Formats: sequence, C-alpha cells, structure tokens
Amino acid sequence: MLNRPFLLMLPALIALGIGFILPMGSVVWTSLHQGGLFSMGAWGEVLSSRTFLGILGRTFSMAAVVTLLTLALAYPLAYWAATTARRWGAQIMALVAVPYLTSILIRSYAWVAILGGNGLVNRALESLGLIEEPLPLVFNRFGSYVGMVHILLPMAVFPIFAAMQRIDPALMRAGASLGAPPGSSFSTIFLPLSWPGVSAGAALVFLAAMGFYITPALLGAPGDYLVAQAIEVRVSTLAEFDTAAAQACLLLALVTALMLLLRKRIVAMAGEDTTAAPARRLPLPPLLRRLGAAVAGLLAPIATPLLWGYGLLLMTLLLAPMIVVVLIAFSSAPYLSFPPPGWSLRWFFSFFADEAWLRATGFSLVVSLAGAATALAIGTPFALALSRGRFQGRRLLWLLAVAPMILPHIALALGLFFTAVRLGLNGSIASFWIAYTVTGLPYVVIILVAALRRFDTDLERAAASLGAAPLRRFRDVTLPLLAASFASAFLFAFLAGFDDLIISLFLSSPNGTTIAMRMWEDIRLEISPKTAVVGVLQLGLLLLAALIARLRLWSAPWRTR
Amino acid sequence: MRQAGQPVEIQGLSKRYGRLRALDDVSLAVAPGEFLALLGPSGSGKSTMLMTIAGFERADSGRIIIGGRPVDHLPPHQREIGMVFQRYALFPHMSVSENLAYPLRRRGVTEGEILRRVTEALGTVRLDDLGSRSIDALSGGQQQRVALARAIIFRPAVLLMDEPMSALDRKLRQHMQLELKQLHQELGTTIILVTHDQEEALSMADRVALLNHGRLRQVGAPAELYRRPVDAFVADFIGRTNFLSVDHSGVVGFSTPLAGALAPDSAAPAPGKVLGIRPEHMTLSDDAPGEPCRVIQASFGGAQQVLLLAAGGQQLTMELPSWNSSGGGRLWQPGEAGFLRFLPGTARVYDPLDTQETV
Repeated sequence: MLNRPFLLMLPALIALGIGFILPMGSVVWTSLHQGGLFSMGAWGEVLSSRTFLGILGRTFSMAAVVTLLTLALAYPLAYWAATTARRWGAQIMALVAVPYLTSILIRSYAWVAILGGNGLVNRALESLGLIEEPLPLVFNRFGSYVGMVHILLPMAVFPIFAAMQRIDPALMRAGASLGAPPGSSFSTIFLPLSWPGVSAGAALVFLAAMGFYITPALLGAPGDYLVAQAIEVRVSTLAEFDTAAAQACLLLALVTALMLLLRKRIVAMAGEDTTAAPARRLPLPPLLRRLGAAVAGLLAPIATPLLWGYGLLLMTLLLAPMIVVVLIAFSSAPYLSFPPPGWSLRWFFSFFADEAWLRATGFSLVVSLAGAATALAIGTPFALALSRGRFQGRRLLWLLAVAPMILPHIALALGLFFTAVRLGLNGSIASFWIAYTVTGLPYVVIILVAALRRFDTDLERAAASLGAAPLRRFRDVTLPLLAASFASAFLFAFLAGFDDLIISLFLSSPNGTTIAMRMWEDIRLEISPKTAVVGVLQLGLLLLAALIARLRLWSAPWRTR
Repeated sequence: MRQAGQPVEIQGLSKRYGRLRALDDVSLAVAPGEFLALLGPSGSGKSTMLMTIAGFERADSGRIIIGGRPVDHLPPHQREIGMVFQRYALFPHMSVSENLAYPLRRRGVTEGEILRRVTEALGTVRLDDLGSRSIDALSGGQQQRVALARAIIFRPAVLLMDEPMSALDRKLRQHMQLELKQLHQELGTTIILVTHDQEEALSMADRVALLNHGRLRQVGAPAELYRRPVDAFVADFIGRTNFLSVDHSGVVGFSTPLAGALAPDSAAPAPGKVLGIRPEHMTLSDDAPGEPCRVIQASFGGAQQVLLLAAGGQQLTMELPSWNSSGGGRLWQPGEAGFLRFLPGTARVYDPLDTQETV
C-alpha cells in the first residue's frame, strides 16, 4: 500500500510549501529589503533598538514564568487524574479539553468579566466587606499571567498525564516492597518516569507562550507589550513592514532554534516516538529532590482528600470562564457586567439581526471548514506515510508539518500577508483557505500519526489476505476503526481556523472578515455581550456534535455491507 | 468444502533488513495438500518468509510459485491465500458472521450463497450459534476458530498460519492442535504454519522446515529431524542433546569405547568435534558394564526422572523412566554411583555448535 511514501506526502508538502515555507521566506526577504533593494537597515534598527530588545527580554521572562506556573499547576492535576482518580482519568481529560471548544479570544474575554473592576471576584470581595476599592486584577501583568496560564494549562496536562498513565502501578508497589517509604518511592520512581511528559509539556508551553498575542493584549497592561504585539503595531499602525519582518524573523529564529533543540521532547509527546527514555537522573538538585520526597512523605497520609480537593478546585477554575461566557450571553445588561443584572435573549436577537456579524460568521465557517477538510484530505496520506513508511527523516517531516502550530502565528500571519499581497489574494477566500489548511494540518498529523501508530496493522493485512484492495481496506477497516480519531482531527483542524484571530488581523479586508475579527473589534470598542453569544453558539454546536458522535448516529453508513 | 491444495514452490528467496539477513537464499517445495511447519527460534526468518509468501513483504531476490503460477508481482489481495494471524486480526467492528462474510463479499458472492457458506463455516469450526456475537464477546479459543473459519471460507488453495496457538493456554492449545490437524485432513488445503514451538511443529506437520539466521537448516518429516539431525543446531533445537568432547579414540575421559553407540551414517569421532547424544538414549545401572559415573543432581518429573551425571570429567543430562515393567522403578539420588551406557546407534558426531547459533 505504501510503496511510494513520497507521493502520499506530496499534497501536504505542496500545501506547506505555499502556505508555510513561502510566507516564512517572504518574511526573511522583506526583512532584508528596503524599497526593493537589499538592505540590512531593518535588522540594524531592530538589533539596536533598546525598546524592542526590552520587549524581547520581557517576552522571554514572562514565557518562563508562565511555563513554571503552568507546570506547577498541571503536575498535581495530572497526578490526580492518573492515579487517585484513575477510574475517571478519561473523563477528566475530556473536561480539560473543553476550553478548546471556545476560542482564546472568548476565554480571555471571560477573564475580563471575572477579574475586572466590575467583575465577579471584586464584587464578591466587596460584598464580603474585605475590600473597599476594586483590586486591580486585570489590565496588568497579573491578568496576563492568569489568562496565559489558563489557556496553556491543558497543553501541559495532556503530555504529563499520558506519561503518568504509562507508569505501571506495580512499580510503586515494588518500590514499597523494597523498602521505599511513599515519599521516596514517589521521588525515585514516579517522578523520573513521568519526567518525559513534564519536559514535553514545558517545551510546548514555553514555545506557545513566546508567541502569545490576544491574551496579553486583552488582559495585560496597555504599555506592557510582548513581541507579537510589537510586531502587529509596526504593521498596522506604523506600516513599517521591513522592521516588522526583521522582528518576526528574530522571534522566529529564536523559537525555531528552541523547537529544534527541544525536538526530541516535542516528538516524544505526540506518540511519534514511544521510546522516549525516562530521566535516568533527574535534572533537579538533590536538595530539591529530598525536599520533594519529604513533602510527598508528609502529605502521603492525607494525599487522597488533598488531591481530590485540588483537582476539583482546579477543574472549576479551568471551566469557570466557559460558564461565565454562557451566563453573560443571556445577560440583559447593555454592556459587559458580571454577574448579569438580569436575564434576556436580547444579545442573541441582536446577533442574528446584525448582518455584519452574520456575514463574518458565514465567512469564518466557510474558510475554516474548507481549510479543515483540505487539511484532513492531505494530512491523512501524510500521516499514513509517516507512520507506516520506513525512510529517513520522518521525525523532521513530522516536525515540519507540526511547525505551523508551534511557531508564533504572528510570523506566519505576517508572511501570509506579504505573500497574499504579492499574489493579489489579500482578503480573498483563497488566502484564508490556504492559511487555515496549514494551521489545521498540525492537528491532523499529530492525531492521526498517534492513532495510526496504535492501530494494529494486522487488521489491514487480514483484509488484504481476504481479498480487499488498498482503498477498500482503508474504507472497510482503517476508517471505521479510527473514525473517532478522524473526527477529532477534523474538529481540531476546524477550530484552529475558526478560532484564529492573528492571521485574520493581517488577511482580513472589507470583503472578507472573520467572526474573530468582528469580536475583536467589538471587545476593543465597547465590550458587549455579543461576543459571548458567539461563544455559546460555538460551544452548543460542538457539544451537540460530540453528543451525536457519542451516540454513533453516523456510524451506520460505515458498516460494511 | 473440500478444496484440492496447491503446491508452493520457493526458489532462492533472500531478504535483508539493513545489515541483517532475514532470509538467505531459501529454497523449499511444499507439496499440494501438505502440512508444513516453519520452525525456528525468534529472528530465524520464519515470519519474514510467511509474510513474503502472503505478499506483505517483498523479497530482494528469489521467486514464489503457487500452483505453477509465479505470484511475486501480485499484491496480497490478489494472491488467494488464507491467513490466520498471531493475534487473529478479527475486525472488532463486525460481528462473527460479518467477519466470515467479508472475503465472500469481496469476491461478489451472492447473499444467499454467503448465508449458506457462513452457516457451513460456523459448523466446521463448531461455533454454530455464535454468528451474531461481537468479537469482544468471544473467548480466546473461539476467536481462534473464527480466524480459522474466516481464512478458509473463500476456499484458498493455501493457508498460512502465523503462530496461531501462541495466545492460547497449554490445554486449549493441545486441543486446537488436534482439531486443526483433523480439519486439514478434511479440507485438503496446503498449510504452512509458522511456530517456534517444536512440539507443535512435530505433532502437527507432515514435514518440518527448520530455519536459523535466515537459512534453511533441514527439511524433513518430524521423525527424521529427530532421528537424523544434519548438524548440531538441529540436534539441539529438536528435542534436547548432550554434546561431549571427543577425540579419535572416543569420548574424552571415557574408558569405555563408543563402538556400537554411533549411528551407522555418523561421522567418525575426531579432535575438535563433538558427540551428540540425547538424554533419553542412555541407560544407567548399578552394575557394570558401562562407563562409571556419579549422579550430581536428580529431579523427579512424573513419568521420568532427570539426572545430571558426571562421567570421565564431563557432565551430561539423562532422562530415564521413573517406572519399569514391575511398577515402581529405581529412583536415583545425588551422590550415588552407577554405570552409564549409550543405546546402540543413537549417538552422532557433529561439528561443534557455533556459539552464535545457540538457541
């Protein structure tokens, strides 16, 4: 079936060439040209700008802090789901994934409602008489941290949970039978074996935090720019394309270098390579490890209630913004306020009466569905070739396909903008279609490669020996058995496009504007509950789709006749 | 559902994975309706050979001819070969009947005929009432039968089996071996079975092909492999064999001559060679004649006792019945002395077992 892996990968490679490599190339080219002539001027300006280097340093340090906070919160949560609450592990992970069902934009917006001067926390504290003046919880660095950690938490929990789940509980019992007290068997057995998950989570969170745009822009202090914001301002306000490109290049170079440096960890996370070695010697100073053992030992007797308490609290915090969004959508207030003073459907009516919003919704649906369908169509043969073929460089090809997810979208957006302008496609459906194919592809490749790796190829061989030709056995065996993986690959690819704001910021035009752009403009200008309506509709539709999938209403046609 | 088996001819098959020779110029002819076992330790190339016959692997060189027709260029789904997989590879999203119907649907058999043949196949493997079951609801033995039924329902002329019994427990395995042998006689299909279990190979197959390091070591009827191994590897892999150092005069350190113990077609003893003698081909008595020896260890194993003996400065294992014609036989204890004799015509001289080839 796979005599020609290159042919199977070709469509995806072409798409990556047009939608990823060409745009990245155009960023580099633009950074090196002024007025059509080669020039290092932009680089000189960027590298000598104290302001920009300060912003770069701030981005780095904030990403580091966010990574540490996220890991510290994620590890006990994953531990709880993988051990104490093992029976509910799958359900807990599904709940952890729920925030993905609404966009970063809507989740950040919800934090404004929770942390704002007029928000949930301040109102609660005021009514308890603990404070007189509202605490400044948002539009500062604290707000940025809360929002970023909240959004990145699932990204750290998943790989840590996956690593912990692979740990045989008998190992801990063996440790105990060999004389290790609970604390010491945790720090000598469990911690090292779960470390590949921790380092994978750390790598992903840090790389993602480096490119954050929406959350710091919405929740952070007005002047407290991160790199992505700095680049956006250069383009949209100052129209200094060459310096913006040079800044994007610098960010891109840093993140790419980090990604290549950390590639083993990232690849191991996605199940591309299951041979990830557990840390033989933990990169922790012995003192810290002993401290960890001591703390774990002290907590061991009350670990179960403690972990349940912690787990439930964190799950509540994780899901709180979703609940807040739903409640706001039914608010009767003319502006964002939480809790709502009364209930009404006025914002739903207002949404459905607003032609601009409806048009943007339709446009978003069309381009993200087209992008997801294309990503699935070209990503499936690509994943097949990667998981089944025996050839050199599979890990690098996997990384290339996944790079559009890991590398900062601001750089990709800038590159797509340059490319689209040059091709005269700016604001067209085609440019969005290409963009969302490329941003959806990583999810398709990650999910399908992992699923195909786990898939028992003997089933396909059996079908072959029984007389089924290649396409027939893909249809009869592979597709129905991996239907859930194909569905979630499509869903995530769709969400990658539908939730995108950054690329929209650059590609949108009066003829082609996404719903994310509409919401963004609305949030910046008036913060009405209309954005929450979009969140509720999205959430409702996706939950409905999940329910239908669960009931397998659509599985009947796959039954082979 | 009898179907005349087809001959399978394998000519000079070679396959490399990087530097590893998985198959090294293997030639083998399987007669129509024959039951052949491909036996060998793990990594011997037996599975690669099966996968190449089925069409899932492509050989670097060599030919496979089934029923007089070369099949090397054919993809697996056009080879008309039935296959039972090690973990059965039953389709979990289909019922038992749907699994059985699958190959018939691929061949455009009419619905009425499908129903008839599925019912017949369920009867053949004695699962008559389980057609509507889902695969998860079957025991290991039942799954094995479904896998077998699915592989033969389209009446392939050749049936390949990849360690089909390895997932079953010992009792069930022996039962299924008998059933499979009986089914083979009923069907007349050519069967090639891969196994690493010599007992399975010896008890079921008409002929056994023993592979090691990608090379065919010996092909023959089970008794022939047991009685006339061509080299020390075969002697060691089929049953068990003691290897003793020899020189021109006989076993090193032994005072009694080898003389009649050697098989008539054996090579002559010489320095650097070894004498192979099976543990069951010796006797031990309290009285001379024989080679004086001492019991080092003794273990009781039901029908037989296993002794570790020291004789002439060498050690060897022997197996002797724990009973004799008058009921309870002599049970030997460690430390006891006795006289050891080899049964006539049972010992053979080999080149020593290459250390790399030990099982």
